[in-house]
Amino acid sequence: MNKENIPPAKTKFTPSASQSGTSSYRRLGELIKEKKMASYLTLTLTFVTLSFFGLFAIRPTLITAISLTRSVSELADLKNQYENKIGDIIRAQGEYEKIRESVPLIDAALPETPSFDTLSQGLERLAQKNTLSIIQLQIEPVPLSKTPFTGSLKQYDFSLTGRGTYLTVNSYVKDLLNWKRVVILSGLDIAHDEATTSGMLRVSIKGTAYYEP
Amino acid sequence: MSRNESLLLAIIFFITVITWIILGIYRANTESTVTSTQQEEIRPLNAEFDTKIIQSLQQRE
Repeated sequence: MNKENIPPAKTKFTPSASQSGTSSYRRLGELIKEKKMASYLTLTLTFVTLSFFGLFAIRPTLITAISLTRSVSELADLKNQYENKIGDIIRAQGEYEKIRESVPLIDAALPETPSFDTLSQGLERLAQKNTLSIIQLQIEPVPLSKTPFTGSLKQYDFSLTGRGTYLTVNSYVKDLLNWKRVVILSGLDIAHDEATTSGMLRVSIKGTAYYEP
Repeated sequence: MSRNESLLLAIIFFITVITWIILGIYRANTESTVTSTQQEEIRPLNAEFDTKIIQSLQQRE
């Protein structure tokens, strides 16, 4: 066999990076030559580019700009409202100075704590004043520890049983209604005291006391 | 992937991005930057005291 007729051995051709790039570029050039293909490619690249910039540039910029604009208007509103509040506080301070002497009265009428001891002392003092004997006094369980500020009115019930004449009972109830400490009488029961025949009455009073922690 | 599919994909991606931008803008425009503490602080204050009640308290025992 002649050496010239021997076919060359098949060798695997691996193009280098520059060769590969050149061939891709050629292929791309050929593709672009087709007009329709060029239009498709342009459109696709346009959308991709717009999306890319929209995602990483336009969106954050717009959001930042709008947030800042909104913040500016909100802070301007906030400033006005704070100024109004400061004005209100100054006015309230002036008004408070006018009634400063009456603050203990308000505290006595509506204490911050249940103050059941002052309630019972007050009830007893009024009874002594009106010569009414207290037989029984019951106060609903109340928290002894200082309750956190709620800004709402709290209440607890009490009931009192006493003995006295009609006039005594009458003046005692009037005194209770005219007492500095705000109490509401929810029930009043007057009956003849069975133990005596001297016109003594047995009175049962149910009431509610208030406090504002 | 044919050229039609590529274009369609690009359009869908673009629409998604636009929608996301619009939603982001809407959120930025509606989300308040005022905190709950500030809202509590700016609550209006009634600076007037009811002097009638104080007078009636003074008359009580």
